[in-house]
Amino acid sequence: MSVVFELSMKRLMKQKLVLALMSLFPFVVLILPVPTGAKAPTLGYGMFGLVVMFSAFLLSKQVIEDRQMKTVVRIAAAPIKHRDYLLGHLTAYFTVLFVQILIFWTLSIVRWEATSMYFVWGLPYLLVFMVMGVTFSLFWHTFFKTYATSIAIFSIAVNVMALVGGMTFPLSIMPDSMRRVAVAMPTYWFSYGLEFVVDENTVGAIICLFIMTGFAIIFLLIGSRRRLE
Amino acid sequence: MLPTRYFSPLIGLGFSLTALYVWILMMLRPQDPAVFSLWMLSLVVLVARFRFHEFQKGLLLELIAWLILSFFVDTAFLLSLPTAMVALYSGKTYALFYPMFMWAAFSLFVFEALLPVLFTIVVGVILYGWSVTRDALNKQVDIHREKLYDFEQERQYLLENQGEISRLSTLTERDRIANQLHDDLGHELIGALMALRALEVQDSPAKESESFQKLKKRITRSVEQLKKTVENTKSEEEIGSDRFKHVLKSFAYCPVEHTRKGSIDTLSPMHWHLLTSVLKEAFTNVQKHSHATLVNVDLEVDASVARLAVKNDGIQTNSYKTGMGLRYMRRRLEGVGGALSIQKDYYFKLVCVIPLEMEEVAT
Repeated sequence: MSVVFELSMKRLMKQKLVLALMSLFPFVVLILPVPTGAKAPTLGYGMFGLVVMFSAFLLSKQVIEDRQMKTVVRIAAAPIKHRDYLLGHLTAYFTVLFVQILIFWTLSIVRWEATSMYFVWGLPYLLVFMVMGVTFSLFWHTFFKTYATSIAIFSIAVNVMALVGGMTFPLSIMPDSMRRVAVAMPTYWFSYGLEFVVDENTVGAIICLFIMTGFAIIFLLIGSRRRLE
Repeated sequence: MLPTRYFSPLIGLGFSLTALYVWILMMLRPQDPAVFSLWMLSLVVLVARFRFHEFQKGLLLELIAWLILSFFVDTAFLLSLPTAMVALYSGKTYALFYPMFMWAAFSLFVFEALLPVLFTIVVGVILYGWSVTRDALNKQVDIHREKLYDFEQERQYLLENQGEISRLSTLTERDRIANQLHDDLGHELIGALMALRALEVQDSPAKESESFQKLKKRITRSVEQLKKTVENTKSEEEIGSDRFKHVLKSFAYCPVEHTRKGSIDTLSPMHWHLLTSVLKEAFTNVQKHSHATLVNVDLEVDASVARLAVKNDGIQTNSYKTGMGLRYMRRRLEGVGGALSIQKDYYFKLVCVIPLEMEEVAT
């Protein structure tokens, strides 16, 4: 696994544009104004969630490219287990995204005003959302043969998910009929969970984290299947 | 016609479960995180089952867990329905009564909750029936495919055998002609040559004549030509008992003890051919499936049958399954009225019996 991890990290370091964008966008989110009357920067966290989703997708490009270039076929013939290949790649993505989240989280404490509870809960929320984002990208890639098609549809789908999930606007203005559909989106539970944190409802916040973990497990279970073509 | 390659009972189950999950989600209060998390838990377990191809294991335990949970959460019984459907698909009889029991016990006969329960039972039973039928058909197809493969192998084997017999007949005939030339014509010519030489020794006046000398020369040349013809006609390849001996000698896996009893000379080339084939097959088996240290080959010919027994002391297991080679060998022997049997005790013994008067030589 460590060999794959190292190789994946080396390949990630070559994606200089992606890394630059990943570093830039947290700052862009941080300078966004907080709506008047808001108790916490939930919207800023929501926007950053969108950045995390895109970052995870851009990083996981390697997985679909390996399949596209038939590298997975050669790996299948090598003495490396599919589990190690997958874990190596996932750990590399998690590492890079963890750094991004840590930077954003630290700066968000400085930039925004909110209760300490909000920022304490903010970190696990971002981390679980990051895991969900990576596994979702893995899951998404299984349905496509080429990276170009995958990203083209992903960029639309994720924007819709973010919109329907209430990441880009306050959840309080979401109509009930829309909520019934939104529950099927992991993004909704991210925003909803942050609302619980604002209301200091610990049980609700934990359950939302649990639900996001559930989504991540489902995405991982489906996305981890080995596809050679 | 449905594209059966892509649309199997398992795919049908996948679609039905998806529909059931959406239905259940619509019936529940999904905005409540506690309710949704239970729904999510049920989905995670099911996806994990399918992902690891273990969707039939621990179903009863899971249903019992849902039953216990239903005492605390009123809507949990609905979430047991997908598991019940999988259990029905897997042919578990208890799953037939479980949804109705749960409905009666926890939903208190609410009609709205009855519909997904009925959906679960009906779809589960239909999918089970479909799966059983499909499995039976797949099994039939497998059996036919295996038979077809066997027939094809047998046909190939028989064709090769036919070619071998044809070649053997040609060689035998050439051998017979060569022997006849040598024994009959050769004998006569040598006799004539000897008579001429006797005349020379007796100082007969005829020996000085030109025609006598020509005659002697021609007969001498005829004898030489006959010798060459016999040499060319005779097969260089070993056939009959020579081939049998050659196979015996060339077996290098372990020492071979060979005994012969009875009137071996009465065996025809066809008998030798069959015996040699059996011997080769027996040797192949010894090499492949045993750790033999000694092989005994006993050939016995009595008034009506030839009997070949090949015994080895390297038996590996009691559950010996007759291989393809031996099966064809047995059929060939049965085709000429013979038999092949296998005895297993401390030794592994292959016994072949061939009647001296064979029924069907062409096999």
